[in-house]
Amino acid sequence: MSGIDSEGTVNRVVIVGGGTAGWMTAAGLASMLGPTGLDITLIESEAIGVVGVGEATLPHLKQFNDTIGVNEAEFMAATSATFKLGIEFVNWGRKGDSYIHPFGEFGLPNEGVAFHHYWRKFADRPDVGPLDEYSLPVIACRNGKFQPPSEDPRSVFSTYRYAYQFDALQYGPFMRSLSEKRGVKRIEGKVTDVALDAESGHITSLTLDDGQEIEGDLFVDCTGFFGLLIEKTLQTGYDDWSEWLPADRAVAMPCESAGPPVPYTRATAHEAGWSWRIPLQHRTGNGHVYSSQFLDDDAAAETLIAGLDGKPLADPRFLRFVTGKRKKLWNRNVVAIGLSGGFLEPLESTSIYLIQEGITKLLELFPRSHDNAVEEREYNHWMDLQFERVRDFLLLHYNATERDDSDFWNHMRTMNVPDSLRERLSLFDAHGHVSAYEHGLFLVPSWIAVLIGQRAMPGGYDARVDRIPDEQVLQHLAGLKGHMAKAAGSMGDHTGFLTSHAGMGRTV
Amino acid sequence: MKAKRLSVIGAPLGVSIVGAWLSARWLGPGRELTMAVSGAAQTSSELLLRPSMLSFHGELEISPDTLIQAASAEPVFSWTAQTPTGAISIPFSPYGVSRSGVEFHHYWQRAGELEDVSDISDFSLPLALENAGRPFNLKEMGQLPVQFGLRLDQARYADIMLQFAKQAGAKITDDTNQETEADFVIECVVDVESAAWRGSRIGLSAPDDLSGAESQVFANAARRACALIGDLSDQPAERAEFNRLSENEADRIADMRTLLVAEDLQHSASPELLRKIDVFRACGRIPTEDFEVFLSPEWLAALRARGVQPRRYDRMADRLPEAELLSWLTQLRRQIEQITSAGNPS
Ligand SMILES: Cc1cc2nc3c(=O)[nH]c(=O)nc-3n(C[C@H](O)[C@H](O)[C@H](O)COP(=O)(O)OP(=O)(O)OC[C@H]3O[C@@H](n4cnc5c(N)ncnc54)[C@H](O)[C@@H]3O)c2cc1C
Repeated sequence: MSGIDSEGTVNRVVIVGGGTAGWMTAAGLASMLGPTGLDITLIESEAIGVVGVGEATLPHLKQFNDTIGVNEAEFMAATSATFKLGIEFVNWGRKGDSYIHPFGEFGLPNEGVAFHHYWRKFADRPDVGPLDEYSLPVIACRNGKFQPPSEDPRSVFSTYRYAYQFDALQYGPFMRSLSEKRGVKRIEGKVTDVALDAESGHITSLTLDDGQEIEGDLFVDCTGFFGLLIEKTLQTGYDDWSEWLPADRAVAMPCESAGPPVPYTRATAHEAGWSWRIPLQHRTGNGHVYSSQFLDDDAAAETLIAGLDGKPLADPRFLRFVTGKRKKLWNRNVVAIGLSGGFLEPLESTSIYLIQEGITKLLELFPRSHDNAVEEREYNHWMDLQFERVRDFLLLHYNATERDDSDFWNHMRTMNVPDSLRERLSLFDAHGHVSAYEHGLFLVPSWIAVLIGQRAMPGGYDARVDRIPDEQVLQHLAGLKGHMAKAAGSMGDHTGFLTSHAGMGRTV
Repeated sequence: MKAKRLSVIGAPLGVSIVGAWLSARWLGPGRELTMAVSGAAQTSSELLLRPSMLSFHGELEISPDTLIQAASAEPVFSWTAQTPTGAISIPFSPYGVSRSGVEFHHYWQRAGELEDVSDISDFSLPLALENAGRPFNLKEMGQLPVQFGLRLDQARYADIMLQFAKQAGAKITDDTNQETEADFVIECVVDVESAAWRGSRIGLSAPDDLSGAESQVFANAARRACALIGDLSDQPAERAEFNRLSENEADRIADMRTLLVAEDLQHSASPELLRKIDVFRACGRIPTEDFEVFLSPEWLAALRARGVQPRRYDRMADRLPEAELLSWLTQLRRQIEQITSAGNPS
């Protein structure tokens, strides 16, 4: 097959790690390159286990699933998944505040001017109401509604997308079964030794605790926070971003569901961090992310337990991390995907997205030989950009706040943010413009949702709004608000949809 | 309250494009727009409007039909560029068609490793249409899976845009001394520099050495200025954003210019252009920056014309069985022939 099997070519991929990152990588490579004769082996150690969190996702996962041919209904039933239309942020701008960052638009642009400018001009009027009322996915979240988006761009139902919330411990096995069906070889064992080529410094083989030796051409490090190949072996180095994202601990604890699952994740800000609540079909996932510089573990667990909706289903589990990323996510013949490559804390559910992005880029640049310096450089350039842009967006949540009720919030509110974020904030602050980029995860509506949701109201609005008579704008706003409410009212119930389309076993 | 006065002055093409846009999207109550052209439009010269200019005109509700009738516009599928080794045709639409997310040129390269295949340009529908030797009407164009631009008479086009602006309420004057009266001035020149906003003045420059770039740059600048100049008061954050975007645009155009004409590419290329060259050479992919003027097929054509060839194709192209690949290529060529000859009066 066009020289692929000849000497010096990359034909054997060894993935170390069987968590979400490992099995997603295996499924992606097997689906897209398996038919070309690529030999894929995955080594995982049940004794070490997986991190077991990471249950909220972004809409891009649907695209990944579609590309590799995952049946949505089967996937949702197997992972007890629910639909997700956005994230509710509670107590972020001020204590008592709540806003939703939806996976969709606010209103509709008019004459090339984004909707929020029209809204901004009249935002103080009670009849105009909050921006939330002009977003179909937000109204759907608030009312427990769900229906798949329309593909007709003229329909208001095309103004949103959706993601999933799934059981992390069921997701790995689901992807494993799919990968094994597509030819991935799984080896149970712990990697205890790594052999390097003396000249190139490339990894040549891994030794397992039972003495087995596994050779490979390309190694994907999915060993989570261990970073076994990328760090412990190759000593790649880490860009520590805790200066900007100081959360370094989490405590997780599932609980019983308190009612029908809502189609959104909730992120509630606390004294020195925030807690997540992820509703699944059969339980709720919870956790508290915090900075150990400002809060101790006991206090963090207490806050988490006090906020649970239902009876705890396990003891609190503590996790430690350092926010940041590897200096190189691709180094020699090792590509780090998942937590081994970096972690920016779970706010906004970006980690699984970054895994997906890593797999997609690896597929696009998949090397033919060991002479792959350009591919390596391009991969790292791309992933660095992704990580940096996600970092800025996460930091925005902590920095654009009025909270001054704890040392943590005072620190976050007054910190020196990276220039890239500072410039964006000053542009928005003036007249509500958002600098758009092509290559980044969070698009303009996301920035608007968080900025306005956290009271970073711009000083002005796009002056083109003034070309349209006030009464006309107000009439348009009222019409749109009514249209959104009516559309949301016509949507089905989330739980009903889960029951009919996602194997949810109970009716509420 | 005194009206806010904006003046657009300078070269006819720039003034007419920028002024037309501002008259439709900026002018309104309490605002005045004056347009003053200095020098005549190049009467005999032809102008190329790139495909994205069609949506620019669409937003102004100027249909391609209007341009065809009033400015003798003809659809075009590619543009011509000069390189040190001669003129080349650069199509606006991809060669062949992509399949399972993999661009056609990877399949073509793989086929070339299996047997003799004809040049990749033989798989280009836009190039075939360009060489078909017959005109295509708008109805036909709408049904073809290609992007097209328009070639038209520059002076007549500028006139259409000026008339449009006038009807939308702009004041057209010969008096080029508008600057003294205005709160804000946009001056349009034809040059390769990037646009810059300083104080209450924007200097817009568009290059005329790359076919189609000139009108595109003026149109992009019109959109950008319209969104950011607001009420014409000094706005440092918007100014910085305008200048940043304009610089990016000028840099990408400069990259294409370098790629087309530089004798020593490796030493003349910017880091962004080097990235394109290196990645394309290594694996046939063309990375893009946040802001691009030229489309991926245009970069592909220019890279190939300058002798930059991928060392390998995308492995995902190997998913297609050999026999299927080869018969698919034969089929594609046949389809292109059918499309270009359909309705051919000869
Ligand atoms: C508190 C917290 C909350 C999170 N919430 C979200 C969220 O809501 N959304 C989201 O997108 N992401 C979230 N994440 C991130 C998400 O959990 C991870 O991105 C995802 O689970 C992938 O993890 P992983 O596969 O990289 O690592 P792991 O799950 O840790 O897997 C590592 C694998 O490597 C194996 N291994 C390690 N060493 C060896 C060895 N020597 N030999 C053999 N095998 C070995 C282990 O056995 C395991 O199989 C969260 C992370 C944390 C810490």
